[in-house]
Amino acid sequence: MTAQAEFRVMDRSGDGLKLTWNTDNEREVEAARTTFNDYRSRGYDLFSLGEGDERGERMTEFEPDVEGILAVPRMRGG
Amino acid sequence: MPLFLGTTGGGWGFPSPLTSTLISTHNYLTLNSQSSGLYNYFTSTQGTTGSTQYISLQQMQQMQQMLYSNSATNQLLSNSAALQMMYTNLANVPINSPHIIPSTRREQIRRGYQAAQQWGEAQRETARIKDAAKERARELLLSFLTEEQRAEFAVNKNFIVEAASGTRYRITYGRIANIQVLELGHVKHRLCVHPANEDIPVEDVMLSQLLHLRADEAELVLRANIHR
Repeated sequence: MTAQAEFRVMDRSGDGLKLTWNTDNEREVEAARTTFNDYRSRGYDLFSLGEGDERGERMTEFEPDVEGILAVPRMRGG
Repeated sequence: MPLFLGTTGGGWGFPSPLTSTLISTHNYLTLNSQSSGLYNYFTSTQGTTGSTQYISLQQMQQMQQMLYSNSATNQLLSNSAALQMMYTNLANVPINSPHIIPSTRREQIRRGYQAAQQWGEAQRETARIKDAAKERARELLLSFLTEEQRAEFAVNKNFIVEAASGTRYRITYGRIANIQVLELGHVKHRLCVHPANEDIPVEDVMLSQLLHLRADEAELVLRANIHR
């Protein structure tokens, strides 16, 4: 089933929408994968925004069928 | 009696972006009404003697109106006791000053007012964006909380998380040392660990702590500074 997924980034805009992709559209999926890898390489931690049990799970690899992804800046001791 | 609009170097509490843009070449502006019925405004650069221009009451009122008709400016200045003093004194000044404000100075003031207005609008826009961000972050945080946690958050602005190890943490509203490690219902110590980007809403900070406690408690605790 075709679904619209979203990639959000925790920043000053309050979890601003970075991009959306259609899970059936290969080009859009690849763009989402590139964004995922880009944020991961920048030290962000990525969590699933799905509605099921996976919601809030940490993602180490891009999953094209996920309903949404939240990128969280790296944590540091204060 | 002198009516101070503000100084950039003085102690009257007006924001310097406003006063410094009122008259671009000066950083000090004072409106005066005198018992003789003469009104003037005094401008100077800090550390110099400055100059005095006499104006009519009408001109003084125009200056006042220009400065305070903008709601953002009004909001900024209304916090100051000096503004209250100005309003009080202006209400008592007589209307008989024959002097006028020079057109060049009027233009300077107009430009200064325009700059202050733009600055006020920018401030309002920044506040609007921040409010919207905070609301989005709050909604997302709530979407991750259980019913019990949501109820606790609604009342006390905090919630308890039980991690995989069985340790209970209370995430309180804040960014710094806001994770309480609980032991038998008491606070054993606090952890200070938060996203490297400090310019995010508090609700996002709390959500990131919640997600990390659930996903990898040990790693988060390792990164945290402990406050006893």
